[in-house]
Amino acid sequence: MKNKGVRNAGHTLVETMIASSISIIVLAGFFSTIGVFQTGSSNLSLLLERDANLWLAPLLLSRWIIPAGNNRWNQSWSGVTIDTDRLELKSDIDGPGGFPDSKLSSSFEALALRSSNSNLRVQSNRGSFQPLIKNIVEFKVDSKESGLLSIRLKTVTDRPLSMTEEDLSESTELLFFLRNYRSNLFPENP
Amino acid sequence: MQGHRRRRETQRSSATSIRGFTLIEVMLSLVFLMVTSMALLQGLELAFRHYSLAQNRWKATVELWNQIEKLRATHSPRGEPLQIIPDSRPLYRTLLTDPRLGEHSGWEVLHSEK
Repeated sequence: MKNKGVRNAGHTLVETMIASSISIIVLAGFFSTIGVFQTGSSNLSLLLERDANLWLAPLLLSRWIIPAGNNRWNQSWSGVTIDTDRLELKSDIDGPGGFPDSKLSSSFEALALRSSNSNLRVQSNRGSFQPLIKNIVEFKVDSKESGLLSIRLKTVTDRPLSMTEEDLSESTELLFFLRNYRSNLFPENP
Repeated sequence: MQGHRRRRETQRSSATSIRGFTLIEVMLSLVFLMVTSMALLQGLELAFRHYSLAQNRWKATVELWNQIEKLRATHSPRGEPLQIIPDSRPLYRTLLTDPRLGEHSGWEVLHSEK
């Protein structure tokens, strides 16, 4: 009978209090760690998304800007035209069989780029402006000396980061040498 | 006699079912909880470090790209002409050194006459 009484006695008040305190401390630590982890990973995700947008821009822009102009001896259009916050690019890069055909009718041969509603937008030929890269809040084009084209891009995160009030915009300047306005590698005479 | 034995077994099994956790079990679960928390934080720190590395590399690439474009636009070519295709205009080689990579490293840039 005595053994049975001890076995069913349970815990004392002090034991319960100590156990509860330790459990509260451990669980509070665990949940605050989970909170920090969630906040950090959410912030990192926003930053990566912002930078992925910015990192995509040079690839696309260099693909379109560098052939613009092409310096063909009988070219009847200007390759690069800079308007206020708008860039127009014309290059005969495609045609039947993949060769230039002296026309700007194929897709992406006559382009206009501008930033509006926090998106970098592109217009191909006579189509309408379509979103190209999101969260680009600034797109400034400037023609520097010696045929250098400067493009300044500024991007922001989708929403403010948690637990910080920093200005989280990121900007970069890209230079493109318009080599097409120089002589080509081969002399071009009719 | 049999009834007495059955009652004793029932009492024993009910005592076993309410015994709770031992100290070792509790300690092990706390250690597991701590290890999990530390692993989460370390993983997050590693992810931020990788992000920072990628960002720095991207900035360095853009900087180098700009440097090369500026060099092609503004500098007159010097040195030995290099004719990579017959009958074409010659190209010139310029070495761009990157102080971050040490004195003996650099990027070779080909550019033509202006």
